[in-house]
Amino acid sequence: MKYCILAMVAFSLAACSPAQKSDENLNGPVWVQLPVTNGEKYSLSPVEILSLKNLKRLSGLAAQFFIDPAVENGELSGRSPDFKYIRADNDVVVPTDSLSLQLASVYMHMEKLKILDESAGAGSINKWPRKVAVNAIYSAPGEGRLFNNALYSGQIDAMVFVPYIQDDLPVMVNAGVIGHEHFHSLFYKTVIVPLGDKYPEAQKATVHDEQAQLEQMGAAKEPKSALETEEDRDLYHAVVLRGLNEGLADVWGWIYSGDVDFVHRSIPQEKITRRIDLPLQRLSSATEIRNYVNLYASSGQTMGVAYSLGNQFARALKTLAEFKTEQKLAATTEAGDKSADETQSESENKPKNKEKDKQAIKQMRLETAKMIIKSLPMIKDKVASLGPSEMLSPAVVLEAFASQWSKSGELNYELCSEMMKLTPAEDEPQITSCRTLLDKP
Amino acid sequence: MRFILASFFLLLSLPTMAAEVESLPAKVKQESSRNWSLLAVIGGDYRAEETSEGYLEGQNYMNYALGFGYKPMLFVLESSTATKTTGNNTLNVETTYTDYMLWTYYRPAEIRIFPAFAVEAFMGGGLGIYKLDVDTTLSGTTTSNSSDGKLTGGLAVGLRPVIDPIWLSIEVRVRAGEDFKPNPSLSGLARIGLHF
Repeated sequence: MKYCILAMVAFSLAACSPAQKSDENLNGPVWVQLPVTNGEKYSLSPVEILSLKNLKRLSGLAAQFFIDPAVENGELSGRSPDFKYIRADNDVVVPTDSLSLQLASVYMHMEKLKILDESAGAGSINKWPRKVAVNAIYSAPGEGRLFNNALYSGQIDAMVFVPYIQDDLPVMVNAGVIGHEHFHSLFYKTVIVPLGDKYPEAQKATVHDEQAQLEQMGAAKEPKSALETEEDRDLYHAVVLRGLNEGLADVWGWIYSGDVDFVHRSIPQEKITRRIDLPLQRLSSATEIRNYVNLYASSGQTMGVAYSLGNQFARALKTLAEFKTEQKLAATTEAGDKSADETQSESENKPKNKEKDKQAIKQMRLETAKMIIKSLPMIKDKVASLGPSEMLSPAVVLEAFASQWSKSGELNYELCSEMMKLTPAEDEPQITSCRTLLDKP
Repeated sequence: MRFILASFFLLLSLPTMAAEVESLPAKVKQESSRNWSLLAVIGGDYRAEETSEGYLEGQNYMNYALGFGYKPMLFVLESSTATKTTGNNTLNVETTYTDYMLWTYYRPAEIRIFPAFAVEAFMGGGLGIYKLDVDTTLSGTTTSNSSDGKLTGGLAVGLRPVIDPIWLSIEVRVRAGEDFKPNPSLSGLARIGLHF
């Protein structure tokens, strides 16, 4: 009998060890070995995570996970993760299975995106910790169960990951994709929700809000032969707004990750359609988009038009951001050349210049993020103020940028000329901020 | 840790249990002529473990053991190992668990079922260390890490037919370790080998 008692005592004492306890109540930063990118490739590296409170459950100020999620009465529910890890050399935490690695990666990205939001002036838009649903079972209308993707749902205000079953970089590790999806939450709260009166149906709860919005705005309805009715106009605006949302999200993904081809890393079939560093001749005009929508509506393919338009927006904004940075760098170099010691050789200056360029590119990305955040209310106002027969011009986003540069005194003739190159002739009058500059002899 | 210490005390107490064998009924008293024996076995250890998603799943461990018996005790030095790979070709994590344990079994009696067939029940406790080696591969580049050795312990009950020199046994174990999930956890071990 005494042995039985001894054994029972042993097991009753076995529940927790001091090491486990301390990891359940973290008081400081923790270093975790995770995949990180320099914009060109991914490698494993220890990353400092500052806001984790419970390592065992991967919970903290940046993200809250819901494994195998469900939505009941509009509320997201799901299990907390059980993070599997070891502590290796120098106390670096190393995840011991793939899901743990991916969850920690998402947490790290959410923490960094929070910092980006704050730096870009978007710190107050979202509530933190962000909700993240993992292993979600989601069926897209007419497409069956969705795999290898991520979504943002405005109705439950959560980033949703469906299972990744391909052999490429898992979406939950892809910095660009996570940045992209995170941006949808900013767009949703800054543009879509305030436009609620204009599109009241957009507020209904569904798993994939944007799809639902398009449907509710008319995208999935039987098409008309021409975009003449109010319904047709709604369909056009749904496509342009979706294009803006996707395009700006792609730019956000690039700003965050430095990767111009992030979609392709996880979804190789998107290689050509989603790169944002390809040269762009110009944006499609409102008339062209209307024609595309009209053409593809009959086959229910308007989503493709939206994504294609989104890619145009992304490429246009990246082109402008780079053009402006080159202008800035050229001006700095010119000023530097004048003051530089003439005895310094070119080879001595090279590493310095390279470092300067890197800093400039980083700064450019942050400046672009700030511009985007400031553009969102302007885009929303523009959509809200459209008259019954007006169509939103795709050049609205260029004007939003031009207007901000004009206010800060950074708009110049060359920048306006570059902007006009990207604007279809019929939409040129939309770029009102450049009119005065370009009219000058 | 407290569980490990408690297990240790249990192990220390096992030899005293041997003295109690004299009080067992005559029919279950031991009948062997020689007191000492040697054991060499391999086995499969099926352990219930919790995944990151929170589900219980079975994991197979290979078990290798050498032992020395001195009736009614059996001392077994064993190692268990299992490798689990998760992820895909681009990003995967291969984790190898290895433990080294010393088990002390108490074999109170052989129970004769038929005149020519007896079974032996046994119970015991084990202590040892375990470690995890983790190879994380990203785009063909592998980074390896190892944990420090951590304490583990367990209790077991088992049964075997007495068909020496063949050793066949099954046992149920309850094991604990610093980062086990669930902790303690259940496992079932089947062994085959030589006992002479």
